[in-house]
Amino acid sequence: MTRTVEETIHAPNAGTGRKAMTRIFRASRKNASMQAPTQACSAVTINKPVSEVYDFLHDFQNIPKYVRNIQSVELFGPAKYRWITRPVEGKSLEWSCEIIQEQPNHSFEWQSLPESETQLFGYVSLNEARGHRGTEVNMALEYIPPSGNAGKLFVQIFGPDSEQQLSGDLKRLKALLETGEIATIEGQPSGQISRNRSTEEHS
Amino acid sequence: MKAVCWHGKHKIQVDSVPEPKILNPRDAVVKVSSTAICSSDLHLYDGVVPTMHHGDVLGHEFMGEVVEVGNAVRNLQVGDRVVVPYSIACGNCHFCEKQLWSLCDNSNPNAEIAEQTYGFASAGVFGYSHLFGGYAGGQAEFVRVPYADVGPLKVPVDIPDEQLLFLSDIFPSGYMAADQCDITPGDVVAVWGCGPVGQFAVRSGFLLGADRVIAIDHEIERLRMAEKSGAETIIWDDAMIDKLRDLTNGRGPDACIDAVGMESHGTSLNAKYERIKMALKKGADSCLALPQAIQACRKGGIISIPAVYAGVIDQFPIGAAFQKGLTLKMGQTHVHKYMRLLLEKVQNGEIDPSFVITHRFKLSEAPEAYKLLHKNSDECIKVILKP
Repeated sequence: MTRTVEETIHAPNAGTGRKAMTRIFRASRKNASMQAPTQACSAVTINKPVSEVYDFLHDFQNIPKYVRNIQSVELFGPAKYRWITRPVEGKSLEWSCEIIQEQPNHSFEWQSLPESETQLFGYVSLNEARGHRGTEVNMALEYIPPSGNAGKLFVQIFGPDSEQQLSGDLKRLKALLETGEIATIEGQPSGQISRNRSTEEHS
Repeated sequence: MKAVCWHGKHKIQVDSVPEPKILNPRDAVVKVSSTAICSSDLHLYDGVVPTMHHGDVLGHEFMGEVVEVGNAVRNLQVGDRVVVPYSIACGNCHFCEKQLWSLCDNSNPNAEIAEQTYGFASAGVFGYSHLFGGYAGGQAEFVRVPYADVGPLKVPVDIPDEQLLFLSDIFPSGYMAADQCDITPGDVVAVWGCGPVGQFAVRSGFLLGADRVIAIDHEIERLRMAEKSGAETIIWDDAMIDKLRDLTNGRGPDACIDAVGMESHGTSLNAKYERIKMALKKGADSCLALPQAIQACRKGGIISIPAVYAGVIDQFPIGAAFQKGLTLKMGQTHVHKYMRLLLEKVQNGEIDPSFVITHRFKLSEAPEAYKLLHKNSDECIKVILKP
């Protein structure tokens, strides 16, 4: 995707992913509740063919493998899925959503079902990068968190920077598809330290 | 197991830590037979590298025996003897496919921290701060090796550890430094800094066909070692540029290698200024070799930088580099690219890399070894540790 000078003038800080997202979000906000939406968009290039990336992304049951804050996703009807977040202090949120507007090997959208407490909208598009550079993935997400305590829990789970979360999750997606695993140091040895020193960081 | 752990500036301790486990399918666990202290470990020792945590296991130069493999590792078996590259690479991403292994997209679990610092993240490195992934290092009895189906090089049993260990870092680093010089017949290569990487850059310059290699350092023992490799030597002082012009009959070296990097130990007034600046944490890397190399290099020449830089430098002579049309090449070493080739050179007897070793310690004596390497950089050039 390339940008015109006109687009650069009118949205100087926007990348192509953000451009796509902005268009999408206007559409989704018609159905939105009163809560302010949380929006994020990010892009990654994955060294795998478009069809392989599309199929993996399209199978929502793969989501817990690379999205840190989602614990499980179950299929409960044609193209309908129930997502359950990782718990914070024993509590998790869940919502149901369905895939809509599919264009195989190009893009699809998903949105929460009307009865869902958390309103969610997502869009992903895939492009073959020129010169054998893999598949460009642009993803846009919009959440409208529930009100009250569930809304507070939503913030606890997803943190203050949803764009950074999305960008990190897309990196994990890339690593998983390219290498079959996600690099980690969790569980490796480290030197014996007293409790008060363990939290100190040198910088 | 015993492991060399970081506990702050000039605080290195041998701790008892749990043995590493397989965490991912492409991991292996290696029982370390030999490991070394790299001069770049002194940056950690001096506390100038950010994102170190108390208890981090150090060490990125090591070799040993495979004792466990993850279920996706098919090319290694328990009992294989391997040398492990210091940087960690997945072998599948765009950069690995282009042989730019140290720029791997997937091996740094803390890529987000590195992106904030450098724009994009380079590969993970064993035992070298959380900026480079926070991986536990190999100055230990055992070490977990990620992407073990890609990195570790199987080595023959009939060559001693001391001739193979440096395939993990300093030999490929010196070799890549010389390789980047695009050496053609008649070329003169000047090498700033005769630490271990500089020593291998000198040797590699000759292996790649340089006519002459000029080695520059303040330390006499280091210059003696370079001389044994065939280099002409110059004691580093402020008249360097004139000396180099004289030695090259008015042309200047065709390529200049900066094997010093940040925090160089110059003795001139300028060096003192650089050290004061670092002590005051003014945010700039201490740097003396690079401006000299740029000034001394012939027109259209190449500056090759195997030495480590981490932050910013000031007083960078961009004008000289531009007006003389220089090419600057730098970066962490693509160890994976060079290991096999360099193993062949060891097997053929073209080089015996053990020539750089000046000191041998037990792993349990690591704190003394660090202290010695830090204090006596003249006589103590390369330290190996045996678990």
